[in-house]
Amino acid sequence: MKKETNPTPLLLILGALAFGLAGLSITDMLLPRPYDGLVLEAGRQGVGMPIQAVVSGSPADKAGIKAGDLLFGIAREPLADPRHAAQVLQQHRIGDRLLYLIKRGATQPPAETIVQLERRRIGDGPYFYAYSLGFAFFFVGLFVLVRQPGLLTSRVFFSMSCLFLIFLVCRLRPPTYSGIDSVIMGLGTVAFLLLAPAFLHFYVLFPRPAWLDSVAGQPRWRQVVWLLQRGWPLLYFVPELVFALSWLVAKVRGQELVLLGGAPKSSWWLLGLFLVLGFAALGANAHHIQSQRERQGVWLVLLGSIFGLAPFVIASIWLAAGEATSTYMLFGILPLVLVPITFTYAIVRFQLLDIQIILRRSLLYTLTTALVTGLYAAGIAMFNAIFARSTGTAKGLVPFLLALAIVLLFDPLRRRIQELLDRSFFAGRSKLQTALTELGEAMTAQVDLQAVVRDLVERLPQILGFRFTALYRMRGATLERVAGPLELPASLPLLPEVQRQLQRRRGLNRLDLLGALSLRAPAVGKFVDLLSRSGVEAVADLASRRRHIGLVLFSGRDGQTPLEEEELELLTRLIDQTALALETALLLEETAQQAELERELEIAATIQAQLLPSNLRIPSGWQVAASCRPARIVGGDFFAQLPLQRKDSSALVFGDVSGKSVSGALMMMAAHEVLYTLTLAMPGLEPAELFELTNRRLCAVGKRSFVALGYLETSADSGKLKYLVAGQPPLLLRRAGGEVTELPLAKHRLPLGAMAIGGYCQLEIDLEPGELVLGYSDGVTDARAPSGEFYGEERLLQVVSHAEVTTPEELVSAVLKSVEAFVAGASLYDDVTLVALGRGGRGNEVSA
Amino acid sequence: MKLWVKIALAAGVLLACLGAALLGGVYWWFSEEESHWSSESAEARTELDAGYRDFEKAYYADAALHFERARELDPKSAAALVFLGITTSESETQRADFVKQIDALDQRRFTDVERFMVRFFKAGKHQHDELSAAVEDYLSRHPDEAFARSIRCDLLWDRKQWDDAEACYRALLLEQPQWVQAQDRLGLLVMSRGRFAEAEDHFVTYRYVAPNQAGPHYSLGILYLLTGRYQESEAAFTQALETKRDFCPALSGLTHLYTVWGKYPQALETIERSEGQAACRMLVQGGFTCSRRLFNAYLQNDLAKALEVDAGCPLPPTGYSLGKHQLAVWQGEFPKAEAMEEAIGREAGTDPAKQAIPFLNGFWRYFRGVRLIFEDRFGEAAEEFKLAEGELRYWTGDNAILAFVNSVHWVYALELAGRDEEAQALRRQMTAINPQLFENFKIPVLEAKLAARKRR
Repeated sequence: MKKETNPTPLLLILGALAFGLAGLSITDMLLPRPYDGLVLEAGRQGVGMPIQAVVSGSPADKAGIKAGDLLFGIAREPLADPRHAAQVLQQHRIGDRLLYLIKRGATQPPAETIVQLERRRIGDGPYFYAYSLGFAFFFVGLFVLVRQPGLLTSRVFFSMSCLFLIFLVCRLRPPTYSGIDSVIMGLGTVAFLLLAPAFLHFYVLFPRPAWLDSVAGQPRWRQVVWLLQRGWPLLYFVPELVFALSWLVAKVRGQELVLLGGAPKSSWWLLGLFLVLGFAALGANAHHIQSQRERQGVWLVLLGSIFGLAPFVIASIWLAAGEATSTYMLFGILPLVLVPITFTYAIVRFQLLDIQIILRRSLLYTLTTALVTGLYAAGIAMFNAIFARSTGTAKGLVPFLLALAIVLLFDPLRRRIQELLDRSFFAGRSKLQTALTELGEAMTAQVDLQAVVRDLVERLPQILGFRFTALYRMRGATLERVAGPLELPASLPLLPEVQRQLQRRRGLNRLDLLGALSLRAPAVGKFVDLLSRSGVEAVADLASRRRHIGLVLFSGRDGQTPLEEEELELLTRLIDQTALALETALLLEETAQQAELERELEIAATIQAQLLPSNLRIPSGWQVAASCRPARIVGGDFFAQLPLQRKDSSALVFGDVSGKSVSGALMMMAAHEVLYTLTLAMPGLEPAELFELTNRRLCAVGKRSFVALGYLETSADSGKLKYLVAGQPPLLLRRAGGEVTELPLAKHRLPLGAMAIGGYCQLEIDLEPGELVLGYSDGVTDARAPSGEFYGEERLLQVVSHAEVTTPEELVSAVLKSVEAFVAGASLYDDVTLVALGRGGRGNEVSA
Repeated sequence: MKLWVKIALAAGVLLACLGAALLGGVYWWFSEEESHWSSESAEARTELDAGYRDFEKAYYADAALHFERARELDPKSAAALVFLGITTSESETQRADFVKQIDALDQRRFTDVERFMVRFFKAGKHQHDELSAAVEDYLSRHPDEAFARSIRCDLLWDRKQWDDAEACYRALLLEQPQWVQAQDRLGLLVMSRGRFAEAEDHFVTYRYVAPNQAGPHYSLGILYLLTGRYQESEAAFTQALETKRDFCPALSGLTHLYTVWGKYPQALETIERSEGQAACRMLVQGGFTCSRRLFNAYLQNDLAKALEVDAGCPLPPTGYSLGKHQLAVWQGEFPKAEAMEEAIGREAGTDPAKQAIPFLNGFWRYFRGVRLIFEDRFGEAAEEFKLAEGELRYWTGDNAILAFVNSVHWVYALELAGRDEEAQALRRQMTAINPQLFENFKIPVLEAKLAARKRR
């Protein structure tokens, strides 16, 4: 099995070494050293070295030495070359008075002059400029490596940046002749030797070897492609080989190897050759790259490289070596800044190497203002300096007018620069952000659910470049696809872990972040796998304040760079706006549905009311009263008179269906119809058998619903009362004296429909005249006062035992009044059903 | 890119850096530690190094002190013995003594440079072939060694290979500008070729490096004398004498200066001063002071004085003397003069040691020319002076003055021969070098001849 290794740590070690070496070199140069202020022409050899310049105010200047003079010796040491001069200086201390031998003009003999050494650091402007460039390039390389550690191009680029840093800092520095000088300069030479192949390597790969890919299959090119792709390490040894061969040839010829900037001419030729090849490869890459954005970036880097590196090689190396002078060095180094600048600009502007930099407009504006302010201050200072020595009116007036002009130009200049920055960096972004904002506003204004969904799954992907987006709505314990590609699962499980995570992190969540949860919940892993296989890369929770609506799934962006933070923020806001729009649309839909439902409930209530008997028939010698008050429009309680075929008998049932509203009503109707039909169809059925059969039927109909039922059967001129209670509270017996007891209950009294088991048993009692029996549903005792207190059995018993209650009608009325008074106008918690029987009277048909 | 490629790439970069650092370190270590000297005593090696630095700058006395200390610290040091021999031995006997001591040392311990120095020292200055072989052998192994290169240049000088010698000194000074003897030699060479400004650069550099030596002041004195900067010349000779009171060449130079300048009394004083210096006894013994006294009298056209001086001056062992020859021809004693000419000719033709002296033939021709003028054979005289000029061209020290005097006589000969155009051209040539030459330096006897000729 192939094991993948990460070369980044190794590269970072290389970077640390390069950085440390550069730091060491600069620190060594910053140490105060004896200084005379002479700038000698580099590379010139012979008796008498031309003095290129004399630093103004320096010891040499004070001693009257002029540029163009010839330096013959320092401190009685005749000099062979500038290096020798620096070595002699190093042997003395700051403050020493040294005798210089200077020749002025061809005819004048050399003359001795005293120069008192002062403290000064080595390295002037051009060198520090070169170092700054080296570090700038190094940090660009480091940034690229950190942002794209897996990319070979970025690793080669970083290596090249390190070598460039070492070369600029260690090879170009003026010799300090300290102990580490030769080591630093030697490593600078090594860096130079490796730099040439590094340049070529990078330019072939950057931003990707498109031209190599284009010729990879062609037989003629196969060997070249193979060599370029596999043989890179060999290329890095070519400069060393050339160096060694040059040395060998010189040795064989008995000559000394002439070094220019630490390397033989052949090495410089090789660098030139590698650079030309590199530029050609980069041009070929630019030509073959499809993306216009990338192509623009590569051309820019190519131009920056050509105009940055070519003058450097020509002016700083060739001319400097050929003319043996460092006069041209500055001209070579100055354009070198184009290399890091064009590369950085290409990354920022064209996202090369797929690196995206979040460029904050506010920061750029601040920098612009600071820059213009700096220019303003410099301008004022310059004018003051220019006119400080002048006299007359110009002294006061001209600087004032110029300062005024600068003040007037300040703001237009700042705005111009900002406009330029906007055009360069933010035009595309601005369009995208505007489109997102407009989409959000449009969605918020929508009340049509379908229109919102359309915006979400059709317009949003177009704007942001997603391949697709999909909307899943919450349906109970699952999420159902509402809109989106059919390849996506039709439904998804609703996982609490996922939901919590999405609630915690608003906006877009990358799928791999969710994947981290799979350690705690394996189901999340499956969920993430499922989405991942479907091409989903990000998920967002869609929730309003009231509820969770569902999820929005996002694919990756086709050929696009990742979104910026500002765009992510806009997208998060857009998702919130979508949730709000969906919530509004859903509410509107639900309101319409509710209105429809209420209308249907009203119809159902009417039907239910029609099912309750308007009149109850009772044999002679009995009195009856009944009432049913539903807690909602459609209730679950009922009472009914069964069509007994036994002469002079009457059977009443009262029931309480588990569940209220429509479901309860439907169950109630089912129970009612089963009881009625069975009684009608099977005349000889005993109450217990009726309950048995009804139970079976209801068990089959309502899986999760059951009916508590009470049965009361009376016969004419007899005080015998048959009763059966299944799930209802016990019947209450009120004696004539007001004493109240509960009637005994059978052992098996499960509500009907709860379990498919039999065993119901009917009971009988004989009622004396004046005695009353009350059957009631648990809605009576469960009625609640506004304080939350239950009505309860005690309160019921008190009302039943009250002295003034003598008839069933009075009993039902008293209980209802008591309950209504107790709830104090609040809606009932449950349906309230009361059925009362009593001895006495001639039988009747009373209204229920 | 495959893993091995990545590893090779990174390893290549790192190894190259480490390798360079290692090589640099090794080079530094060995270059610091390697010594030219075989002595086991570090202090002796330090003394040898210090002595060598003085030797480079021709501070031979100071160098000898260091070498002496080195020998005390390590009696077996070959380098100390050789250098002591070079810097202190004044006679062949002393040199032979040093050679004996060197032979007693264990030669297996010698370093390469010590072996070369021993070979050089044993060969002596005049064994050109042996010296050349030793130098070339050593330089084939150590092409940059300054001491050997300076010997190679000196050999070229001695062989009169002037162009090669100039190139050799120039190449040496490019890398070893502190090698002051080379500065001096190169200065003399370019001076002899009429490049006086360049010569002055070298002499001034020499003086700058070694201000406490009389040598550079003396060379500058000669240069200033030749170019007519007589005050500067006087100051330079004086500075040389302040540096070294008994520095005979400076006394000699000063004598010439006053002679050419027309300050005959000062010239006589200087001659007396040199005669009073023990270090200048060779001048007295060689008859040089006498010769100059005679010449002084000749220039003043004071025959009585000349005869008086001549009475007290014996003929030197060489058999010739410029002053006596001058007096002989002045008196018309041509056979006597011819006898002295024969003595010089003999010496130039038979003594191999003298063959190395570039001007001996020129000397001979100059003597002949002077005689021929007094024999009124002006045309022949002019030819002799012309040939002498070629021989005397490469001046060193006093002889530069003789070349100058030769040229003046050549002008007289041409004028007396009636070859006025040639005479004027030569006069202009000489005046361009030294504008004061013909104003101050006149030969009354020849002026009289010239006047007589003009009268005719």
